[in-house]
Amino acid sequence: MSERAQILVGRPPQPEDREQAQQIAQAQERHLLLDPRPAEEMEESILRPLSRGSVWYWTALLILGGAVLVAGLTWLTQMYWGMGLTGLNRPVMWAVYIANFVYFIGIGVAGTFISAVLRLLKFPWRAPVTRAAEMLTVFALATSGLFPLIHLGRTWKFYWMLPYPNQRGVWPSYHSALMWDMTAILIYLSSSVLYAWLAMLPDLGIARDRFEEGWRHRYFRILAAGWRGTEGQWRTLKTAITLFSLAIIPVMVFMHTIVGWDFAMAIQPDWHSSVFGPYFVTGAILSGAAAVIIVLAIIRRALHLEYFVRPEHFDGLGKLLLVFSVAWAYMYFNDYLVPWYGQEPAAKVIQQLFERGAASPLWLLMLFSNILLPWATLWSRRLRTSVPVVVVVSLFVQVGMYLERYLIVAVTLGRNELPFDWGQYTPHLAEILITIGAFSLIGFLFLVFVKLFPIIPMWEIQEGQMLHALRRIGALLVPTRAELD
Amino acid sequence: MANDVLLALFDDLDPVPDAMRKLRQMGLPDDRVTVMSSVPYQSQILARPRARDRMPRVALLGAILGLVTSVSLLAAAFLLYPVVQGGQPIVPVPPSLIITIEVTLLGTMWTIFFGFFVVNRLPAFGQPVYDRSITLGKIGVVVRPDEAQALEAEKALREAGAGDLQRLSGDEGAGNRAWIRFVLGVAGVLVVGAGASLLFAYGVIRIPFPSQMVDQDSVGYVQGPRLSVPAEAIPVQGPVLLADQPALAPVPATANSLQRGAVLYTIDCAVCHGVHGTGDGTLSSFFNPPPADLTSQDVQQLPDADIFLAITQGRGDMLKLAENLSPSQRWDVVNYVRSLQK
Repeated sequence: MSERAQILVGRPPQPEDREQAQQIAQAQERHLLLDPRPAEEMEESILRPLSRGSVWYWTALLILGGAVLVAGLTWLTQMYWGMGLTGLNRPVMWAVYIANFVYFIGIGVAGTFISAVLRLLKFPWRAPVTRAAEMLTVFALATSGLFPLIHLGRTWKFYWMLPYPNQRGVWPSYHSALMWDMTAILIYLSSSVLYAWLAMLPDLGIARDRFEEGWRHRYFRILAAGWRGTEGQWRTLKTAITLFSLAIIPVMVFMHTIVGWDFAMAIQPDWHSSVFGPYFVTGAILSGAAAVIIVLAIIRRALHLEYFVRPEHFDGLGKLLLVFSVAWAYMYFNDYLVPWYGQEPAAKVIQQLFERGAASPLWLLMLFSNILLPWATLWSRRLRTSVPVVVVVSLFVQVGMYLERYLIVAVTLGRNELPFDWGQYTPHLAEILITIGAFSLIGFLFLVFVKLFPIIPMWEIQEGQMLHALRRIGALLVPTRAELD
Repeated sequence: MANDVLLALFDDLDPVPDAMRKLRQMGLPDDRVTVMSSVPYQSQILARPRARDRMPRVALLGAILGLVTSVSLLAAAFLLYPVVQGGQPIVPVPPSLIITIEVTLLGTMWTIFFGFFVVNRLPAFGQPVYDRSITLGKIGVVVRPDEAQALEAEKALREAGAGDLQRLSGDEGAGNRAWIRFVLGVAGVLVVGAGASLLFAYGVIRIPFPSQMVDQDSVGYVQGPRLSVPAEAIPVQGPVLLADQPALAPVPATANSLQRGAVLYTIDCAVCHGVHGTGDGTLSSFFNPPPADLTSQDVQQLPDADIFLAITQGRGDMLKLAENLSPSQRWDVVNYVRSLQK
């Protein structure tokens, strides 16, 4: 380690005896922020994936890109030949596309929420998690934003939703929940991009300096926009991020509440529920936290970032997952109990369909994945710190949350107030291909992103390592944090 | 010489506050010193005076901007293009609140983002005073002394323990004009984009694409066959329509009926027949022959039942409105059409 390289390492505690040396080694193994490495080495390991690819990378890019291409062509085909290609039919006029829309928006909601809330509450372990979470938001939101367009049929008429003076003499109606929805999505998507960029600015400066020449240097020079890390820039940046976080959290809550209202404003039995807003928000954060876990695990493994993403992060996110699983169960019970007690015929039919009817395997799998499995595993610290366990639980939560949306949209719609109009929906090939393409799109965008941007926030880790140290209390060395903000 | 800038690089944080004190002792104003680091250090850590943070005000400004925007947007939407809907007032408060909150937060966030750049005079693409080793953990101190103080400042920085000291001629703010080019570039892209979309909007460029569903080669059915009506259902018969005979007992043309008719007319008829019934609605240019002038002699001399029939069954290109209007509503519209004057 060169002399210059040692600058940021700080002063490691000098062990007095063997027991302390052991404690220090343990703490450093467990906590990223107590295990500082030279800036050069850290930046090198984060920026290495940008310039070096592997066969695996290009294979994955090819496969996911192919799936996206297939989905795109399917969409074009559907635009040309009409919605008859889908399984949509009266009475189920909202199905997989809308379920996808809600599902991906839910994932998107959670990313920036996790990043912003962890920042505001100063969770020490947040540093390496934030960027991946923010980008998950951007990509999932962009993907989910496609689904109303795909569902639209005549996609090219989309601009009729935009409020601007026009020769048609009509304005979009702000009485409509769908209009609130579009406003909220556009606001959240654009703000999430700006938020991620703002928090990435110092890292772009680092990348600009680390790539001395070539197109990467010019590219990062433009993106870093002249960031130099002056005192004034840092001060304004930190305030800006804090204020931005304060603003983006209510936007996120609002956005998914409005998605819930898209359903609750209709007079469809089982949708017309006042708990739908908070219930949707809780479910969104549950599925989103699980998605962040999966993305982090993949990034950690594929880019060899074991130093940055450690079991402590899965531990923290696992706790979040457990808390929101409990909250979701509470909300779901609220939404279940009132119709159960009321025994209104229309609602009763739907509950019977879920409990004993054709939909019951899906319903039971949903309850297992969202409640039983997280509760059975995530209470244990040992299981939470095991990456495979947390990832498997997260995958189940994804399945459970997807089923929840599918049940609410496609199955519930088949049972309305008029029994002669009942129907059943089965997804057709077009819908399946486009859904696979949507999942692939998120992976594809992540693959492109890790080639063009640092996926782990370097400055936040360096700052965290500056603030954290071991403090001796009696015989024990305890991790402590300097309160600087 | 007057514009000379000193860039001192410190390997460690500890000597920096000392250097700051020394520079201040020799009478150098604080605003002539800039500290650069790869980690956010507070002013107090660097022994520098706390400067005012302008971001909270920027955020407040953004919130106000957003609020004004949302209120104007809603005013435009509700008052210029009133839509009578579901028994809600023309300006409904709860939906307006949703949009107001959303757009206010939008204004706040965007203004924070762009305000951050404006406050810091970014983007700056020139050659500002900087050294790459700052990202590796060095701390850079930029000093812009007067000519008289230059040597003294250099000495102070060396004494404090600056590992590397560079004397650069040039202005720290050099290249700041690059942001003008940047803004012009962004604006140019937006203008070109908007212009290109106008080419499509006004049909200068046409893509042969079936934009009306009527022309589309759709496959599959969307509406499935209905199940048979349950046995206990009561069949509803439509009105009997005979020429010169009233379809149902007409609704008398009371003030209430005229008022209802006016509202229904605005919703269902005005888009083609025009607000004043003169056949010049927004969509009228799409029809050949154009929609009838309802104030004309030809229309006004028709018996009520014929107007009722035209509404019910449609006529020529006119759609039938039987599903939109109940029979009594149709009579309200007939009464209203009767009241239309040139």
